Amino acid sequence: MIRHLFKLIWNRRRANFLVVTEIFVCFLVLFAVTTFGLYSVRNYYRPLGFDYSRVFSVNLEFDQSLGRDGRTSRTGAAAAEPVAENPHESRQRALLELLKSDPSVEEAAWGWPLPFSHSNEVHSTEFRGRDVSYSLARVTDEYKSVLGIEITRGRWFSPEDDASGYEAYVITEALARQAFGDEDPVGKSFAADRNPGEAPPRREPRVVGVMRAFHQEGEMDTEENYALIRLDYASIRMGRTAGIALRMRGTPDATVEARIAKSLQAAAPDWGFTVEPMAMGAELNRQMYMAPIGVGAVVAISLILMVGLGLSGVLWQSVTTRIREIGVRRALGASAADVRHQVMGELLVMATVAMALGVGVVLQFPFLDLLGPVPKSIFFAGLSLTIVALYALALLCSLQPARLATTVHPAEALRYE
Amino acid sequence: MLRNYLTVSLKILGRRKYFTFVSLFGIGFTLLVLTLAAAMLDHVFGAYPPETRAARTLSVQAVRMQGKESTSTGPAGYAFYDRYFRDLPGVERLSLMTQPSTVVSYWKGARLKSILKRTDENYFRILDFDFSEGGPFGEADVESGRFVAVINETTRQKFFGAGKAVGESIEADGQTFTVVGVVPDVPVYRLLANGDIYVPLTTAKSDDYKTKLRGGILALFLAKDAGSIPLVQQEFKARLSKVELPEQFDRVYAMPETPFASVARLFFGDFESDSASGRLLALLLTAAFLFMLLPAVNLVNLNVSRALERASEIGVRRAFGASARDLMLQFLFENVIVSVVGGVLALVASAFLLAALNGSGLIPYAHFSLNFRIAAWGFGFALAFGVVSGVWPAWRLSRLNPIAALSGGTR
Repeated sequence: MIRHLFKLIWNRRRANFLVVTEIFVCFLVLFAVTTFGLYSVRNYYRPLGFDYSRVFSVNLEFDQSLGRDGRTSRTGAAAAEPVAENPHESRQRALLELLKSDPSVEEAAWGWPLPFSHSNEVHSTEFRGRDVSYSLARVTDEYKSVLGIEITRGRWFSPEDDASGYEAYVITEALARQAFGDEDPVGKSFAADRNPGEAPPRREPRVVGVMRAFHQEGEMDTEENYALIRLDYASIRMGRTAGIALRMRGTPDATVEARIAKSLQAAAPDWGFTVEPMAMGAELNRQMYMAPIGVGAVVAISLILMVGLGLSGVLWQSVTTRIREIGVRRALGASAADVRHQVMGELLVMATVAMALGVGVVLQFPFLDLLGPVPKSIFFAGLSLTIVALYALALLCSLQPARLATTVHPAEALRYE
Repeated sequence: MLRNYLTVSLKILGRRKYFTFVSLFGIGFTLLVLTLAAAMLDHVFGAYPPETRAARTLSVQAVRMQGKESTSTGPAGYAFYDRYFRDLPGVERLSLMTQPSTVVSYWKGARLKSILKRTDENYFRILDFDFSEGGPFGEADVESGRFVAVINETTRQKFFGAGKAVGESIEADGQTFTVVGVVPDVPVYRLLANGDIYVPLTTAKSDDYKTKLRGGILALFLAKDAGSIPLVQQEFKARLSKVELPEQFDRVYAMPETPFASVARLFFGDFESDSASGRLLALLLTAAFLFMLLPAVNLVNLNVSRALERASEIGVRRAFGASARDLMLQFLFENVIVSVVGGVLALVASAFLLAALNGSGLIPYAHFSLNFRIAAWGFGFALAFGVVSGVWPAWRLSRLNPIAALSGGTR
């Protein structure tokens, strides 16, 4: 039966070539859409790694260049040396104390980049002979209680890291897995590989703990590798830290926000401050991710509807063209069901051929390592879903033409000219 | 003859309703998406008020400084323009402005979010705002750092409801400004002109910006006339070599140009050549072509499968001496006509969708509409789609053997 169908399809290869092409292109579109859809759904349900309800972010604007930029730094030879300490230390300490003394602030921490800030610092290094890349934020000790970060192994930063000769890191489980494999990273050095003769870093990066996850830009952020690095008030890094995260008591309203902004502005008139509930940033990010997905979904659904209507039109046309062939088959004793199966079978065979081609093409992605952040499981789930959906579409398109073919009366069909 | 083709193609449209519907749905939908995309790009990059002098306005959005080890790309600083690019030959005016920043005002217990731009008096001379109340701030205001503000209609509404705004005070970013003028809302996608509150540059909280070569400042150059643009660009390039760079850098790239060219430059990260805008246009057109592919294959399929409908007509025309080439042209023309009909439907639908998008508030102050330029793009897309989807079926139809087709040939 199948062999026979192949022969019939081959006999009309010119027309059928186009049908196969169409299903093939449709397969690629559908595959991209389902895989991306599954990937987004999966991302949405991963643990976020922190809790931003009742958290305010304060973005600061001040001169972070520390005299290293512009012409001012070029006036003397000594000015070319980077300033080694934090010129803003006393003010930064004072601002944090001021915030902590506010009755509606539960806890406050310095940090940069803050969640939903759309800034990121990425480190790409070679570690133990492998490329490791991760995003990072530098934060003070209170950050864990402000954002409710869950530590799964080791410990959070503590005063014992002061003057310890190393730079304390807390990394995500995903980063720990990628960098250290099955080994327990706690207490291990996270220093990048050095070329022979290269000086060791002034302070060795050391992992002190592991956190569940940290998706800085919210649920849809695809970065899994994240590190929090402990800030030291005296360091030059601290002098560039332009964010404060605040955990509030109760549900704060705009008047609380206004009070905080005002008291900060009064304490540092030459700096700029923007106070914002993190939930607003989270909502904005969600919209920013959802809008293109929504538009893409509408376009994809319309494309597939168009292909469905087109295919059933083509099939209908081919049934009318082949009315004599059907008549002969009916006259020779084929039942209505036989004819129906033939029409549907032909389209299913063509769909199979097109999908075999399509699968051959998309399988190149995992082989050539072109998946990017999409996990293999999602890729294959998307592939299976596409195959099922496309067979369903083919079946649906062939229903009406197949029914039409069975209504042909053999005698009439043979008379048709 | 074209009239005959037209009559025939419209007759065929009316002949079989299902196929007409499927064809027009596919064509219309495809062209709708492309027309919407063209309309949006036109509104982002085209000339719309208050940019009435767009033909001779150039902007620098980002500069690249490059050294052996580090590269910095982003808006330049105030000192960059102030020291090196004032009095550029061929330039009538130069305006400097900060990147738009989001600021918060606390007003009668509510939280109001606005986009703040700090700029100078020339900004209002290069852009042609149609003040509904008051006027712009002037040179004296900027010089002495007076806390005055020009606000847009929506901001006036948010702060003062139906009342007058000029002379009143508003609070923004922790500072208090006196309103001197009210301008219409400018859509948020108009990178150069948009803003809720415009205040003098000199009201910045600290004077640090004045000595900075990098960071936060965009420049608008108004050329004397469109003809002197190449001169301005040439002179700008020549002066770049005079810029005293921070020591980690030894080269600097930037160019006053149209917003589209700036975006293309940033998109490709190509600061050295000036070919980025051509490449971005090519990329967009390629994307449009790829998007047409599936609908085109769909339509080709449908048309080829309907070849038999035309068998008797083809037979008659061939018998009366029409060449295969004549027939091919006829069928191609028919397909283009159908595409244009679809294009018109798409244009009508896109007008409704754009109006809905404006009303939805998804994009602040969106003011999308159709115009001749966009209609021309839509017509161009319809022609291209008609040809792409018509060539193959027309070729097949013109080569159809009418006798074989009439007797039910299967090949």
